[in-house]
Amino acid sequence: MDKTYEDYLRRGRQAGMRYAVASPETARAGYAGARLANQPGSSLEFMDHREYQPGDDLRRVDWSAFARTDRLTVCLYRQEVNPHVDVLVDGSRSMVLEGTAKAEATVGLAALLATAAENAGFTHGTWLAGESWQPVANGTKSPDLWGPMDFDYAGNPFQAFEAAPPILAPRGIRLFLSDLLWLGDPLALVTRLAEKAAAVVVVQLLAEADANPARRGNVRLVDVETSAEREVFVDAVAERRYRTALARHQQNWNRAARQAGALMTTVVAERLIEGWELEDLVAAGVLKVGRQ
Amino acid sequence: MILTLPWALLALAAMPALAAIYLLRNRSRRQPVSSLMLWMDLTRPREGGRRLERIQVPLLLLLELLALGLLGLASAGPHVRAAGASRPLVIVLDDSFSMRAGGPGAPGSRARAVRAIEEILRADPDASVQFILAGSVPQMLGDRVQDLRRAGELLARWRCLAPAASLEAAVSLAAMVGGRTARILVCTDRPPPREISEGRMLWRAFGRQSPNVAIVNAARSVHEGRDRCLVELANYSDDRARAVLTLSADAVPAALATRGVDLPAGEKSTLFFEVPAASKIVYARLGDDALGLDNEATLLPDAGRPVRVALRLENPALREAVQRALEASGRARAAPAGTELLVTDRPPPADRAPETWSLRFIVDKEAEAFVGPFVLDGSHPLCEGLDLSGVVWAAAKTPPIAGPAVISAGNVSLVTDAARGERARDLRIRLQPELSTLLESTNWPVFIWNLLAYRAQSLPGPQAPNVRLGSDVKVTVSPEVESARIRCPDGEAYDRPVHDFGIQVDAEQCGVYEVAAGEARYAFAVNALHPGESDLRACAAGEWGQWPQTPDPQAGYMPIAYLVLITALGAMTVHLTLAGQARKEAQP
Repeated sequence: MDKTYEDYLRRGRQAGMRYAVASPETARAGYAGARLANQPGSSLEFMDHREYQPGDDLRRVDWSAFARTDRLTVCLYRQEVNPHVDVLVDGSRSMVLEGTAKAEATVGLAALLATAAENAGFTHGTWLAGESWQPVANGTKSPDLWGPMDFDYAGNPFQAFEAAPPILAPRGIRLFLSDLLWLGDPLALVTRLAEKAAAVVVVQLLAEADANPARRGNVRLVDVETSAEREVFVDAVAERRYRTALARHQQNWNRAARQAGALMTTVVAERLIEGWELEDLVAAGVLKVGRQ
Repeated sequence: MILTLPWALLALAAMPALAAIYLLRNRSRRQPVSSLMLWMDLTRPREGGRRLERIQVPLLLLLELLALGLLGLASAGPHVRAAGASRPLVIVLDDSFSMRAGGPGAPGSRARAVRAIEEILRADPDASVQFILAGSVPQMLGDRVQDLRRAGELLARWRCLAPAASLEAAVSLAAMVGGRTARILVCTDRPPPREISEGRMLWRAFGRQSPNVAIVNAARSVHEGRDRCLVELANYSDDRARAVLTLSADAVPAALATRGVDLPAGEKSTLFFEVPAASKIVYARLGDDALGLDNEATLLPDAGRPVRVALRLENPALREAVQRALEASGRARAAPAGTELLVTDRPPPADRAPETWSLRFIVDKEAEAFVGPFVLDGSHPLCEGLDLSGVVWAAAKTPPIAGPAVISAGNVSLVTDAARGERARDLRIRLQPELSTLLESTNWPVFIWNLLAYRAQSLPGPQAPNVRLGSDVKVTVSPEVESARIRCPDGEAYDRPVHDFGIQVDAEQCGVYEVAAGEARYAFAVNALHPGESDLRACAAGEWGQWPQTPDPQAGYMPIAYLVLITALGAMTVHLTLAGQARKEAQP
């Protein structure tokens, strides 16, 4: 494996030592799991009672309590979660955009999340999107042992899904790392990720140059995936239009994530590698600081 | 185009520098991006590009280069060749007929001048030449020319038939036409009247001092049935000369008379001849000498008919005085019908013919005698030759008589002249004959003569049957005629519209002019009777003054720096406007 990537993995692993994957508070209901979630679900472990509300599953009504109190009460059970994390990494060329910290952040964040899963006592698997989704060699082990990761895919992860989807553990937590910079229906991909998943987290990893293009004047833009070129004159107007387009694109992904019951967050590579602080993920309840 | 400060073009070196700055500043820089999808709605760059097919020359750069180039050009002092004015040369041509002098078989002054002009033009083919004819009145001869052929065509129109040469006025016109840098060449046959300061005028005389016997005056009159001619000869030489004058007529094959005259140096002699009444045109000829134009005179009889006059005078003194003066003039005929002039001491009838003039005497019973001073309108035909000093003119002060005053005593109008319609005039004279001496003075027949001549001017026909070369001849025509055809002595004919019941003919050639106006035919003869031109003793050949030795390189060129600057300012204004709009668009 590339020495550089090994270095990135090591840094990510070190950064991940202080995090642990948290059981998702918004875990998707309806599937059996091996781990209790923090939210009521459909497992058999009783958690609490509450007043019946229209729409509640009648099967959960505590008829005994109704007989005693003449009030409709439903039983709340903890949701079950499979203690497995699948880290799905976008293997397209844009994830290692030259001149940015995107490669280090991508590889390091994957290692961080895998380490956090280990810290939480979860098993984990690592997948890389290429022509098809392929498991990273030794991706279930410590990141130090991962095999090579080739970010040379010219397509997008959805195309890889269409070609050969990853074999993901049911009721597991799925962490998808990508810059999401391709044209296509976000809902189609997120829906595929969310199938039989306890939780799906879409982490959009952008370079600072992706979020805030700083270079002005005449610029010949080269798409690192397709090698297509476009010459544009970047000025304040162009920057404003770019940011508007990016925000619109992110809104589309956010909307799709919400529709699929997934969580989406955005991190900027250069800021991430400064201290590997993942406040957004921690705030979202995906990670928690400290070991399980 | 020439540049007065060509080294200032070094400023144009800033243009490639500016272009280089633009290219470097606007060069496209390669920027790898994760995806082009977010850049798709951006416009193409307006400036620069890497690939040749994408190169776009920005308008602002073009404007800046244009402004820079124009400023550099303007600083170099550009001059362009003025249309038709490169190396301007204005040639003043003496158009007087003395330039024809040369003698039998010898080229005249005009021919020698033409040769000299052609040599000058051949030596300076870039010259832009403007010819000015110095006749009685200077006038431009065609437009500016730059080729010898066109100059030759214009010189062919230089005929030297003017009765005088207004050279000083022509030189002034040349200076005005040619501008500050023009060279002026005067071609004449006499030395300059005063010393010519060195500058831009070259005075060249091509004349030769020659003896010349000329006809300087000729007239023909019919009196009491006798047709008589007067011919005056002059010997313009320093020696006694013998001249032989031959008189002939068109209707008589043989010479009417031949008379030899011995003329002392510088003397004149007047000869009288009586010609047959049937002679229409009489020719008086001298033998050949240096100038041929003044050796011949053509005389037509006075074809003017008497004025038809009707007298309606009740005052016996007036009637007698008018009657006597009319008879003495020989230019009036009593005519009860077709009256052309009505003389009366009553208000003239209102229904008189529109062409009938009237002279009304206003006889006041209570009159005041005026002994002068009398105020006369010297330009009026009635006042020609009048001298009222010593005359007692009795008239009442009031009421004033109508019309502009011709003769007045103080503020009292004595004679007035007012128009009546388009073709007649009403003349009024306030006079008490019993108390006046006007009728007994010599002014009376003069006044009546002037009156008849004034009226005769409006009768159809030329003003005079024989006129001098260069005269403006008015030929009065019938009211119904709208245009008349004029045939010149050289056979050329042209039409001229009638204006104010007449046509004006410029007598530019010697000989007989014929005018056809409707059914009527008129003729008048033109003779070169100008002693000043016939006297060739002052003619000379030589050259005075000179042109600048080192010609002004800017001569014939006009500066255009201001135009270039204005264009540069325009380019900068457009640049500022476009740049302002671009900044406005760039603001978020």
